Amino acid sequence: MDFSITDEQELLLESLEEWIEGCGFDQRYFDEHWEKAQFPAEYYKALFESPFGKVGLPEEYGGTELDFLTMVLLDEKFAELGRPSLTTTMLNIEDIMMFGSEEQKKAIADKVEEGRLPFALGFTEPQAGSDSNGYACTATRKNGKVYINGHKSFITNASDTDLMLTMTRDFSVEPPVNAMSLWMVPLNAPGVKIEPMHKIGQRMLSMCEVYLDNVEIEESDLVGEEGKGFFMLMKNFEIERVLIAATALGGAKRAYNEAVNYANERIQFGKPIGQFQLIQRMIVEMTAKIKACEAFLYATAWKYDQKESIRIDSALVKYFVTRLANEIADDCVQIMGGIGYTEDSISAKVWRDLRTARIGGGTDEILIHAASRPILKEFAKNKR
Amino acid sequence: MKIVACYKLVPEDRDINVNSDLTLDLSKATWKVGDYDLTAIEMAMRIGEAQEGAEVVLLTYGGDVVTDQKLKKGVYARGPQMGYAVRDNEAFCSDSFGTARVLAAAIDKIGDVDLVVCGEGSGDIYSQQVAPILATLMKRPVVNAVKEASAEGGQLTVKRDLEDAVEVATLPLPAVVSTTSEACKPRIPGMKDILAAGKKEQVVWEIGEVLSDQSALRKEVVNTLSPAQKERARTIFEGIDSLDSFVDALRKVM
Repeated sequence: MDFSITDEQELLLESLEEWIEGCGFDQRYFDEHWEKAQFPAEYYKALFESPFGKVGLPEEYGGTELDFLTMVLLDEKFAELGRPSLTTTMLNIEDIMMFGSEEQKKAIADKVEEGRLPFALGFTEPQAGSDSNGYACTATRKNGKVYINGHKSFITNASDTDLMLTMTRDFSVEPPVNAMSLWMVPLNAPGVKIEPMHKIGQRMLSMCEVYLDNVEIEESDLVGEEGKGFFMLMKNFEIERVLIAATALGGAKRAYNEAVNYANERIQFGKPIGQFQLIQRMIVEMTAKIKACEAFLYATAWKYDQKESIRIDSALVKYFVTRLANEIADDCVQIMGGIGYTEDSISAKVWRDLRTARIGGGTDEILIHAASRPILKEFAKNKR
Repeated sequence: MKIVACYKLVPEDRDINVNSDLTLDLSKATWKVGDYDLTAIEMAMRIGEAQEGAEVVLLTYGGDVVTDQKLKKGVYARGPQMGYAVRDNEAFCSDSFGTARVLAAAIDKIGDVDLVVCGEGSGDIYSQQVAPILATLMKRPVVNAVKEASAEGGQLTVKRDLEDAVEVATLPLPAVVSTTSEACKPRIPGMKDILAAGKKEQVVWEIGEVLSDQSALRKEVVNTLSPAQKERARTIFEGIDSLDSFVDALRKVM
């Protein structure tokens, strides 16, 4: 069993640190955008132009193909350094490269080249998140065109990109898992209304309600095979869940770095608070949690690279890592004390931003549901 | 046109510990390419990229660390086509003159070198002497503190920032230059560059293959000490009347 990181991975992470240090966007830039709940467009444009913007995009589309483990390491490092990551783009690229037509692949590669967010993921609806039976958005054919109707909820980046990969349902097909299709819907088309929501964290990325009223699209906007949308969604989740875990772990590490330094510096009763056993216990537990998360996360990404199924592992790793990351951030706020509850504290920002990691991409509860059934089934088949 | 960019591998500053007798403990130090040298490599690349068919190669001198594969990939990923390393387990006993002698001999062995680009100073000793000594030994013109350079028609045009003027100088090639620390921003390697760097050739010469007589290189380093740290006095002088005693106190410690 080889747990070492390669020279190339280490150098790439060093390169990323060097880029972030010299890219010209400082903490104040991000704090201002966070405050105004504004997408950091200039930063993303620079990032897409950097050697990191096209990671995951195959070489024939002008990108740099990377193994999934290296992408996970990069995504985690972005979060550890406190900078918006490439999760969305990596996920978009994976989705389109897996299921898209040649034309769609090229269009997405061009958008990345131009420094624009490829697309938003339009899956969730008011009555359908984890419950796929609830999808109500439809695609109707008329006079050689396709018309999309429905309401999508909690859609990340919808106000900052011009396309949405939209899940629709054909009510004439049963069961519902065979009735789902994915369409690339332009968000600047007539009939689209976007309403951003106010979030308590992750404020630089918008979260929107998207209303689709007879939005006209082309037959060629179908992504993948008609009726296979649910299976494509499941594939998307495998990648998304691992990437969410990676950014959550990176964020937790960022808070941890601040809190452990603070424990060494903050003097109370004549000595650094890190000398007190109650603080030491938190530090030891956080350290062990980080190491456990790293091991599970990297092993899952490695497994994906070996072409093994991560259907269950992706659910387990997101459940495990995002919960522990939240616990770590909470302990960091506790160690930081009063200052940990102010806008000046990194731990506070991480704590606030991390909460959504246990919700988006599958709640803790749905992950338990997704992972427990196959585990029990496996035991029923082969008693151990 | 063949350009040689020189670099030195130095201990990472934050890994250096100071012992109680003020000597430096490098045993836990990882190694890195001197920051100033990355600027020199970038300048060499920019001059080379502006010349059709130009070749930019790297040259370093040091201990076993010169063949460390991660360090090699990291620096070769900055663009040069290939490089040379002179390995000498006693390189740490060499001063600026010794280093310049080794580099001069290595450059002679490389052959047909039109331009040598060095950093502002090494990342550890920072004596800023190697480039001028190297040029003197090689009998070539030299300009230091270069912030911009371009080659044309067998000449190098350089710009230097003076106190209140920008000096533009031309010098015939072959020549030696050293850069300012902020002359240009080193390029950041992506995965393609890093992967390609692993395949680039590094020619390793043992010191004996470059310089048969090394006696002039060996200097006895008596010691390298960190300046003694003094506790802050935390004396507070309050009010305009305490000005004289403040000045007296300053005089005593200076």
